[in-house]
Order: sequence, then structure tokens, then C-alpha cells
Amino acid sequence: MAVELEIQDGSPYWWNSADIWVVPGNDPGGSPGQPIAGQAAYLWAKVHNIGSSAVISAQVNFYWSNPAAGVFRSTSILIGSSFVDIEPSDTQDVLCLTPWIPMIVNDGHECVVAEIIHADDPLPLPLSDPFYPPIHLQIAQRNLSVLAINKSMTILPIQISAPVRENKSFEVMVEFGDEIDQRALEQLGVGKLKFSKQPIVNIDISLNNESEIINNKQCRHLNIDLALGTSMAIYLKVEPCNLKRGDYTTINLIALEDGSVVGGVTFIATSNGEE
Amino acid sequence: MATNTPMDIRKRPFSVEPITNIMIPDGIFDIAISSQRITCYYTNTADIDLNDVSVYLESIGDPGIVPTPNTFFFPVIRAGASVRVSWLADFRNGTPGKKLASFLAQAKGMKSKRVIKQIFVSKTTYDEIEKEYICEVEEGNLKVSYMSVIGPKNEWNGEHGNNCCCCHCKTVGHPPNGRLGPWIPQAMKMAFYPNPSYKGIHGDLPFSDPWWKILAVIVAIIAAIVAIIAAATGEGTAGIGISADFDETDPSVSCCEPTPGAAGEIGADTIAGVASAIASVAIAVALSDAEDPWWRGQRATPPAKGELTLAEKVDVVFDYPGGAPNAGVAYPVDVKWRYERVTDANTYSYSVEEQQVNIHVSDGVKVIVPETHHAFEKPLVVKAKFNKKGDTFFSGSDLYAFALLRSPDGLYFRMDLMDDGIGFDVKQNDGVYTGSIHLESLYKILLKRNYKLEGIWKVYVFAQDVNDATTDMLPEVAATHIGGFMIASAIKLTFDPSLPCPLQAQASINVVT
Repeated sequence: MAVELEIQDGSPYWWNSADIWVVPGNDPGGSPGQPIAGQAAYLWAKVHNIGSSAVISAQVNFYWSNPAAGVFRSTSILIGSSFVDIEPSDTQDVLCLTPWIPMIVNDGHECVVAEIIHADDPLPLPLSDPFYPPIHLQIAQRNLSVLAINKSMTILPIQISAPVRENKSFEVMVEFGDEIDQRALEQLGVGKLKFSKQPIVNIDISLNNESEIINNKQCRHLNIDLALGTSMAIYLKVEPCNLKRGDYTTINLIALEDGSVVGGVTFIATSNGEE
Repeated sequence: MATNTPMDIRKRPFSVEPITNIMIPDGIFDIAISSQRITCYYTNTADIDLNDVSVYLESIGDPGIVPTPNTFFFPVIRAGASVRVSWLADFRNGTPGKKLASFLAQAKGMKSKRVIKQIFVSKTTYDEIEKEYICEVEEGNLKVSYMSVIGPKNEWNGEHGNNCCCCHCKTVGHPPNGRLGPWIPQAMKMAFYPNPSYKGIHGDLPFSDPWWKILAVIVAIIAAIVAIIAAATGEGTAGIGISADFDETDPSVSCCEPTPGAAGEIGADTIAGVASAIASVAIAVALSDAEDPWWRGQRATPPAKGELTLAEKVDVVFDYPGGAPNAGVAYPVDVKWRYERVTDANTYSYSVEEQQVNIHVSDGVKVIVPETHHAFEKPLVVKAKFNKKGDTFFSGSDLYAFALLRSPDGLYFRMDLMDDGIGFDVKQNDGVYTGSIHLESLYKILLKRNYKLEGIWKVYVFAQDVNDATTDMLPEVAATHIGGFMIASAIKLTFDPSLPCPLQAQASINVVT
């Protein structure tokens, strides 16, 4: 194989790629961290040439979208593009110098996608509306963010969409996840957090955004039917239960179609220090 | 473990307009010019030579500025040498402000090193209704009106390709009507509207760096070169974002003989661009590098406590007692200006009448070429040394330098002149700027036009100084460092048509086959 470019997916879910990270603030060379709503941040991607030929002037595109269980080109916004040269079997960090300012309404919980394009390793045309990183080495996604919990319930709207030319039926579920990769934690500026085997929050998903006590009737599954090109919001409700400073719980919101995972979002729930 | 590649960009990247090949002063890129070359000097900061070095532009902090990707390869970059690299970029959808640009360099056996630099982007437009130019930057808008100029008495090339020198058409004050300038400023009205209005004596400098006057120079250059670009592209204003207008007065500047070629050819466009740059930066000379009228006016008119400055106007009249401005010459400019500060409560004014002298001077250029050159044997090498004062020379990244070669039948070819120790340049930073071209490669081009290779080739050398302000300087200190002045030029502007030909070759070569 001559040229094969990759931005690596996350594990266990592809949307937790550690090959994409954010540097909040005005210094693009600063420390990685959680994006701050309303303030400039810079995006980086680690790209790999796993082929046997050098690549000159590959283009890396960076996108953001609202927190979503599946990310589409049609609902994403191009932040900027960069260029990179990579020798075979080499890796290069790529910086996007267009400042990205996360939306206030999303409170910094936004999805980021990076793709690497080169004529010698093209994406199939026409480009599909879903980015769907698992089937494209050249695309990776980062839907991983820190959720700082206080004493009250936190409600997060999560977007779920159908591509522009297909009706869709999704099953959406929320679950507690496993320990997060240390590198991913450090990229979010929370490398010292400890994983708590005992969840420190209760979780629930709903089609309404009413703040109601989460009890034993927690809803963990929803079935959603969407007409082509439409979106709707699912509300993730997170309520503290065993909150302890320095601990975290992983929350995965997952979208399935015909039993297969098609997208998701992961949150690292931790105390905001006010417990 | 591999070390970082010791390459750095020590001077601010600058814009080169690709049709005229001139540098836009002071590292400013203006959106009015759609296509610009982002140009910089990359320096090997180590004590050792670097091998197999690649350099590319990674990213620009404005998605509206779209560079064409390109990677430059250098087999060797000598210790301390500075290589000049540039990337063509489309600025049409750019926005004004300070933008970041990142560059990567990697030498063999070393890790790549990223350098992030700022570029300054302004946006100049022309309001046909108000008859004024507006130069927008983040810190405010500069409006320029009643720009009175001394226009060319004659055309660069006559209507029928002859060397017409007598057609001064006063009614034609619109550069895109085919007249390529130069336009020497005689008077102008300027008004800066700070954003936001400010309290106190001094407001923010544009980009926290150059004086406000530099924006006036940018406006003048843009106004001048839009005609050249329009003529070269033959697409009206397709390659430019604005039209332009001047009020033209007598006397006229002479700039005609010999014809440098037709519009759209390298010679005509470059020489016209150089002439425009020389003429336009006379504004910067007249308004002083040390402190410009805004800064001086602000200091002389302190507003009352709590007053907000809304606008700062400068009306200026120029006179050239020593004749037309010229590159590298300490020419005097008599200048009268009146600064007016408009606040939310009062109007204050301050006037000055003085003489300023161009301080961007050189003691001439020495061009070294062979007397006779065998066209098919080896490349033709041109060397140039640009004197500063006394026995010192400009060297390395001090200058953006190039030469034009004129074939015996009048076709021009451009040649970069570099002091980087690469190729025929024997030693880096020794003050000898070197360029080369194999005339064999030009033979087909000449043959197509039925032009001959043999005969006397002329060499015209040009150089602009490069801004050497550093990012750690205070804004009012950085402002005194100005780049983009022509310090050497083969074109001489004159108000006296009886003087010798204003386009003078610095060297001649007898080419034989």
C-alpha cells in the first residue's frame, strides 16, 4: 500500500478519540483542557501515515457540532483546515489556528471531528452525510467532555439527527462506563481524577427537560423515530448521589440502529468542588 | 532522542503582490488584493549546517484566507542562513485583524519544529458615493479622502507600443482607466475612528504595532496598484476588491522611457508597481517614522478627564523641494499637517509645518555580472551588493530583493536575489545577493516571439527593506520599525522630463551563443 492515513479512533467507543484534543485560551501551544464556552480554543489532531510512501500537503479539516449521538456533515460546522507532511510510519501533530469558540448554550460540551484528506488516500465519493469514523481511518471524532456536577441536577440536551436522505429509527441508551484512558483524561486537564467504581451520580434520559428527582424509575432507554434531515433533543439528566471531590464516573450515551452502535457521547462526571 | 529542528522566523511575514512583485509595506496584508504571497525568511539558528530541510505552511487563523499548500525542500541550509519562502493565498474572504500563521520546518534526523507568527490583515474599500477610501482594522477605521496626487505625465507604454512621453491627460484621474501611475501624494484628508472610543491621551495603535500613517500608505499603494493588477489581468477589478480614484494635479512626474513592455508582462507590471511603492511611501516619509501626526497630535491635545475621543483627523499637504521621491535617497518632503481630536465634549487641534527627510537610504547598489556570457554553457549569475551607510551592507534577511533581466528585444524576466548561501550564492549573510537563470531555458520563450537571445541584456535591481520589529517590543517602539521601503530601484522618478531616461539599468551583459 502506498499511502494510508489515519486519525485513530477512541476505545472502547470510537467517539472518544485521543488523537483530537483542545487547547483552551489564546495560546495554541498551551496545555490541553476542557473547552470553555464563549472563550477561544484551538484544536489539534495527531495524524499517522501507516502507508509506505511519504505524503506532502495532506489537508486536515476540523469540524464542530452540537453534542450529538451521531455527527453529520450537514449538521456540523467547519472550523478550519491545516496542511501536513508525513513520512511513512510517522506521526505528526497538526494544529488548526482558526480559533474555535464553543457555544455558550452548549456550555463547552461539543463534538469535534477531524479528517485527513489526500488525493492518494481519498474518502469515497460522494461523501456520506454521517462522518461515521469506524469505517474511515481518515476520520476521528471526540465526543468526550467533563461534566462538573454541583448539588443540583444537571440537564444536558443531546442532539440526535437523521441524515438528509434517510428516515431513521434509533434506540438511545445511557449507561455507566469504564475507566477512561489516562491520556484522554490529561487532554481534558483532569489527569488527577480517580475512577469511582461506585457511580457518584444517578442518570436518566428523557424527551423533556423538566428537572425532576431521579429515583428508582430511571429511564435508560428511548426509541426515537426521525424523518430524513430532521433532528431532535434528548435530555441527559445527571444528579449527584455519592459525590466526592477527585472522583469521577463515566457516562456513555449511545445511539443504536438495528442493534448496532451508530454514535454516542461520553461524559466524565465529577464534582465541581461545591459538595 | 532527536532534537527540534533549529529553524525560526525572526521577522514578521510580509505580503508580496504577485503581479507587481512588490512587498506591501510593514508586513500588512490587505483584503483588497485577492491574491497575495505570504512571504517570510526562515533562519537556521544553529551553528551547524542543516541537511534535507523541508518547510511548509501548516495553518492560518482565518478560514477566509486560503493558502495553496506547498512544501519547500532545501538540500542544505547553512548555519545562520535565512531562506526566503512564500505561499500564494486567496485573501478574498479574509477578515481584518491580527491572524496567526503556523509554519513547520524539519531537517534530516531532527524533529519538526512549529513556528507561530502573526500577520496583520487590513481591509481597504472605496466608497463611490462619499469618494473616500476606508481602511478597516480591529482598532478602528481610517478614512482617506481628497487624495491629491501628482500623476504620470506620460504613459509607461504608448498606445501603439511606441515610447510616447507627451500624453498627459488631466481628465483621466481614474487609475483603472489604463494609467499605471506612479501617483505621488500631494495632499490628503484622513480621519481615524477608534473602535471603541477611548479615554485618555493615546488610543490603541493598529495591530498594536505600526503608526496610523502606515494605513494611509497602504491605502495609497492599494489605490495605485489596483490599476496595474486590473491592466495585467485584463479582468477589470476581478483580481482586486476595490476600484480607485485620485485627484490629479500638476506638475506631472516623468516615468516613461524606455517602455518596460506591455501591461501584463513582468517588466511593465513590476516597474509600475515599484514606481507606485516609491511614490506611496513618500507619505510615510513625510509623516515621520519616529512619531506620526496622530501620536504627536494626541500628546499635544490631552482631553479633559472622562472625555471620549471619537475621531482623529489629519489634513496634510506635501511638497517635494528636492524633486520627486526616489528609492534609497534622503529626499526631503515639506509637510504641513493639522491634527484634530474630536471628543464627546470638545474639539482640539494641533498644527505642524516642518521638513522630513527619508531615512530609508542606501549608498547605492553594486551589480556584478560577467561582461560576456555564453548562453548555453552555464547559468547566468547576477550578484548585487546594497550599501548601507559607509562600508556596511545589507545582508541576509534585511532585504526583499530581486532583479529584472531585459532581453535585447525588450522582454523581461524576473530573478530572485538571495543572500542565503545556496546555489551560486557563495556565502550566506555576506551582503552579496545572488540570483541565477539559465538562458537556455528562456530560448523557447524568446523564439516564440521571434526575439533573439544574443545581444545586450540589461539588469535592473530592486530591493525593499524588511520590517525588523520583534514581538517583545512595546507598540510605540515597534511602530518606529517600518519595512517595505524601496532602498534600491532601477526606476527613477523625476518632475523634469528633460532629465535622462528614468529607467536605468545597473548592468549590461553581452550574451553570445
